[in-house]
Parts: sequence; C-alpha cells; structure tokens
Amino acid sequence: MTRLLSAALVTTVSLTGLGCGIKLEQLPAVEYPYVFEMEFFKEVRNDNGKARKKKFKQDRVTSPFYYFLKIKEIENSGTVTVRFYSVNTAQDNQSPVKKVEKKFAFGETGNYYEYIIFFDQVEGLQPGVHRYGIFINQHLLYEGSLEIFSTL
Amino acid sequence: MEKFIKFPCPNRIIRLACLIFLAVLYAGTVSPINAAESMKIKGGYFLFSDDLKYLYGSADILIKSKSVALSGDVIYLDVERLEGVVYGNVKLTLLSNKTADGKDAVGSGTWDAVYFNGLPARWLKISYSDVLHMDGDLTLKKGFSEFIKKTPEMLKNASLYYEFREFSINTDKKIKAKIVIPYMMGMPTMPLKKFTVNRGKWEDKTMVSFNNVNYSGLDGLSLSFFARLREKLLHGDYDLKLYERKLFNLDEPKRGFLFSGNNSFFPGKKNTKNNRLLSFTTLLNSGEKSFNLVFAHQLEGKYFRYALTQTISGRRALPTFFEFRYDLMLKGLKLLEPAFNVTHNLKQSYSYRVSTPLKLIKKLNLNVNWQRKIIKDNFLSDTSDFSTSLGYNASLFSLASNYNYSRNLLEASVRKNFSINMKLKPLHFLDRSIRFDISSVYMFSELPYGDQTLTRISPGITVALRSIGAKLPLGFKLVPGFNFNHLWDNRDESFTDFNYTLALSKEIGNFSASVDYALASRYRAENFWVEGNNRQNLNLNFSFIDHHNQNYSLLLRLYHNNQLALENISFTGKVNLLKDLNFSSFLLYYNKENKFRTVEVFIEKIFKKKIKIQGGYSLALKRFFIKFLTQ
Repeated sequence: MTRLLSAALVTTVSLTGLGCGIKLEQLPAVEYPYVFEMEFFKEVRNDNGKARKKKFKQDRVTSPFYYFLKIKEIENSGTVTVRFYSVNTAQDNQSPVKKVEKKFAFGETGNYYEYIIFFDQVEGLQPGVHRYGIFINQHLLYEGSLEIFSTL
Repeated sequence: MEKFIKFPCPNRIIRLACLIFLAVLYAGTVSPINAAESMKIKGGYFLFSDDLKYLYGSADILIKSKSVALSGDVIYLDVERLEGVVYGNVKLTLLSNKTADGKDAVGSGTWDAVYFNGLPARWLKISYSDVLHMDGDLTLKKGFSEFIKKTPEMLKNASLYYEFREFSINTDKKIKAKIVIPYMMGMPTMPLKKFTVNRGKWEDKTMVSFNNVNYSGLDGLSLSFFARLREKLLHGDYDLKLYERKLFNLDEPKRGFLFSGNNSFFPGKKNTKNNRLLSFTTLLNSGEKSFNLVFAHQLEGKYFRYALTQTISGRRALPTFFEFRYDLMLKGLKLLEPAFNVTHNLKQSYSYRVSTPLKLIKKLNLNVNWQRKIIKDNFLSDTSDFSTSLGYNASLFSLASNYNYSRNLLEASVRKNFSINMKLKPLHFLDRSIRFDISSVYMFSELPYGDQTLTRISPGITVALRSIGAKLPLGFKLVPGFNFNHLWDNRDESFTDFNYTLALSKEIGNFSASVDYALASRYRAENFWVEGNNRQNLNLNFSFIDHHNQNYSLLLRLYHNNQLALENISFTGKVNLLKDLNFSSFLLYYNKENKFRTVEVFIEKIFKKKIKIQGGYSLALKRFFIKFLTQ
C-alpha cells in the first residue's frame, strides 16, 4: 500500500463522503516498474554514492561508452538484463544480432525502492545504428535505438 | 448620497469559471462513442497526458479488438498517431482469421514486444533472443524503430492529465475511461466512474473553453474564453476577454470586456473563401466604448465574382461610420481581368474604380486603374485618378515602375508622378563571400504650386558591397561593408552618401566580443565647392551565452556617440537558477546624465509549462510588480 499514489490517499476521504461507490482497490495505482532514464555517456563513475557523468560532445556517442539506466517504482529482488543488438544497415534483410549482454542482480525480497540505478561500460560496438532491450526478470520492460558515430 | 456599485466577488467568478469548465467536461462524458472500430484496454494503471495526447500503462495489460486479444506488462500509446507498443511477456491471440487488410492471419504466440498501428490495427511482433527477430507486418519496421516513448514523468508535466484502469479508444481517437482521477496542474480532483478523457476529432463541434487567466499589477486581472458554434444554419468562432482593474486601484477603464466573433450563416460545402452567402464579424470593446460590425455576401461564378460588404463602426463621442462596398470582377477573359468597385458612405460621398491587370506578356506585371472619388461632406472634392504599375523580372535585372495621373475636377489642377527602379541581379565574388548590388532610380513629379507647376526630376544610383567577412590571426573575424548612394536633382539638391561599416569579432567558447564601427558621410555640391558632414558611432558588444543547454544568456552593449565618447550602456541577462526558475534583468544606463534610465529585475517561474509567474522591480514603472500569466 506504500506505493499507492498520493491522489488515491487524498481522494479516498472524499470518496466515502460523496458516496461515489468507488472502492480504494479500484483506483489506478502504479504496480509495475518503469524506465525513467536510459542515457549514454563518455564516462560514469560512482563518487561516494553520487553518479558523476561525463557527456559526449554534441551528444554524439562514440564507442566505448557507458549507459546509465534508472528504473523507478521497483520492489523485491530480481535481475535486470541489458542487451545490445547491432543493426547492419547495409543488409536490411539480415536480423540484428546480440552483441553485448549484462545482467544485474538487485534488491531484497519484501523491500520497495523508489529507484535503482544501473550503469556499465560497453566496448566493441562498431559505428552504426544499434538496438537495445532492457529486461526485468526476463520480461522486456523497455527498448530503443542508439547511433554510434565512431570508435576510439 | 453615495452611490455603491455592487461587483461580483472573486469567489463567484471562480465558481462561474469552474461551472463552465465542468459543463465542458460533462459534455465530453455524455457524447456517444463512435462504434465504428474500437479497442478495449484494461490494466493496473494508465496515465494519459491531455497536452501531449500520449498514454502510458502498466501491469496486467489486456487489449481486445475485433480480431486480436493481446496481453502484456507495459504499453506506450501515441494517441494522435494511433500507434503503440506493448512490452513484457506479450501473448497474442487471433480472434479472426483475417488481418486488418483482409489477408489470412497467422501468428498467435508469445513475443517480447508487439508494435501496432492504426485501427483496425496492423501488428509487428518482435522477440529479443540471440537475434532480434521480427514477424507480422514488416512494413511497420520503420514506424517501430522511430516510435517515441514518453515516460510517466513527462506525461505528468502536463497541465491536465488523467489516471485510470480501463478504457476504450476508437478510430476518432476518442478515449472513454472508467474509474478516472483527473489531475489539474498536478493536483488530483474528484474521481469519476466514467469519463471521456480525450474527445478525439472535434474540429467541427460546438464547444466552449476557458482559454487563460492573466494577472499583472499594470494590467489587472483578465479571463479569456473561446467558443465555437457549429450548428446547421450557423457557424461561429468567438473570443471573449473579461478584465478587472478597479480592484487593483488601476486607472480607467475600471472593468470591461473585449469580444470578437466571426459568424457564417447558412454554411455548407459551397461555403468557401470566395463563396459566402452571409457572413458577419463583430468587434466590441467596452473600455473604448467602440464597436465594428461587418456584414458580407460573396459569390463566385464561372465568369464573375462579386462581393457586397456593409461596415458599421462607432466610438463614443464620434459619429457612427457607415460604408457600403460593392466589388465585381470578371473572369475568363484572355488578356485582362477587369474589376469594378464602388464605395458609398450612405450619405452623398462615393467613389468608383475600374482596374485590371493586363496579361500581355507572362513576365510583365502590368496593372491599369482608374478611380473617381466624390466627397460631399464638410468639404467638396471630386478627383479622377489614373495609375499604372509595371513590374518585370528578367535574368539579369528587375524593374518596377509606377505612373500616377490625378486630376482635381473642381480645381482643374493636375498632379503627375512617375518612378522607375531598376536593380541588377547581385554579383557574387570569391565563392559568394562578397556580394555586389547595383540599382538605379529615376523619379519625376509635377505638382501644382500656387499658379505655377513645380517639377522635380531626380535620377540616382546605389551601389552596395557586402562581405561575409575574413578570418584573421588569433581567431578574429573582420566583416566590412560599404554603401554608395548618389542622387541628382534638378532643384539643386543633389547629394552623395558614403556609408562604411566594420565589425571585428572574436569567439572563445560561449563568450564572444565584437566591435561595430559605422561611418556615414553626406556631400552636397554648393556652387563652386562641396559641403559635407560625417556621423560615426561605435558599439562594443560582449555576450556570454550557453548555446547548448540555454542555461544562461548575458549580453552587454556599450554605445559610443559621434565623438566616440561613451553614450549609454545596456545589459540583458537571463539565468536558469533551478528547474523552470529563471532570473532575468534589463538595465539601461545613460552615461551623460550619469543615471539609470531603467532597471528591470525579475524572477520567473513556470509551472506545468502553462502558468508563468513573474515578480520583480521596474525602475521605469517605479514599483515592484508581480504577474500571473497562462500560456
């Protein structure tokens, strides 16, 4: 119940008073985690619990790079998996192939986290368009595309 | 005896505004859903942004349409484009053997993502294993890869958003939801059992809406409303602005309204820009105590077009103005398009005009007009004007000329004007770094001057040289400019102008500095010698602008006069302090008077991208001020 929206709490009082016939459990409530941020940086480091991020010039991502993932409204323990697929633009019919995969274990059973941050360095991706998928306990939560402009 | 004016208290105004708003919302709930094609979606949580027309949902998503049932964990739905994506352990079950475009449907199964587009939807199924495999309608691949996902935080930035657990969406993009909590400016309001959170297509429906509310210490409080009428016999669009100034001890007018409206009677398919059976525009201003009404009737046939217009306008203490206008234009003739026009003030003054563009040569724009204007008011006037204009655009030059012959029929006097301007096409040198413009002009006028006639002949030439600049050592840039203008005159008023400009600039990251110098000289021939004078000025500009993140923008300018002494200094600055909180300032200092002409310093906060609050001090107004503005 800790995750019920403030709206629900505020409106519950008026509900019974107005006799709308709406029960508390019928109100919409966030019960599933969501990706708040997935960004790419030149460097990300943990500085005493604070994430220090170094941006790319003009936001042009070069390889190697770091991804910075923030997932909100998350509870219990589980695994977050981040996968990168390379898209070969020269051969349109060819399916993108998995190039990078990283698994993160998080949390403890019974605990609720307002957000959890995951970050890691990715090496070996060639310039071009790539797709990534973010899984939580083997269920796809979010996906997107990334363009790498050059390699160092 | 004192006279008291009863004015409705602000609570009543707010209550009235709320009632209108709720009436509009209620109208949304009672409108029936178009049963043509719809999709029903259930889940644990849905969030719809009214500003972005975008929806996010999560937990036990279940989508059901005529042909397909789908379940998943997360949904992103762009309502405007009617496209979305479902993530999670997505189970797709076919309920019909045919797809949206009538083909045999195959492919029930479980996927990591399903992208859909349109209604009935076309589907693209994606699995993220060792390879990224796609199946279904592969023409949707581009739409899937370019689909934009918006986070719940982005959606909650809207001034109006809704949370609910169940909804249906139809081809008109109308979303009817159950167990809805509306949020206005981030604050939850009364939960509703059923509610239409997006009305979908409603361009041609009657509606009333609250537009905005503004408050400033200078202008007082104002409320704006918009109304649209779309009935069988009448279409109309109306704007109403109510303002209150007396409550804030401001000058006249104390309070009032501004109303403007456009009406079109008997609208139909034939009602176009040039075809209106009867239209009626209104402008009312209670502050100025003025009004303006225009009735118009227009009709366009195969060989003609005509319009009848009646204008009535008035203002307090001034006589009411009437004007009737009749326009007739003949179409379909090969070389000309004659137009006839009459205006009448419903008294004794009137004018009639005949004009036509001549289509003799395609590139030649030749227009011929004749007008007779008779005024019988406080004075008598009867003039006959004949004018022609000619334009020609060739590959090397362009030409524009005008000739006007005006005869006063009462005084038998004649005025003549003629001008011709020829511009050579600009010449470019050094890879378009330098531009060279030459133009010449010839003007002739003959005006009555007592018993004599005053004739003036003035030929002239203008030469302009502009450059995009040259790079100098140490990163400096130099941009010179030159302009030469000479005008001969038969009345001994010939002169020659020379204008020079020179700009030197340097940029270091976000900082840039520049020096602008300008010198203008004019020379006149006086008998045996030449008289001349010069004027010069110098500006120093310094700017510090965050072009990338736009977090700050500071601009300092120093203006120097003809003696190159400092005349005044201006400074404009804007700094983002925190999220949506800006500090702005404007200063103007007069060096000669040794005082600030104006100083404006204020802080601006934007809430939910809709409400802007500004507070600060203005030296020009000599007061602190606060403003509430809605966008």
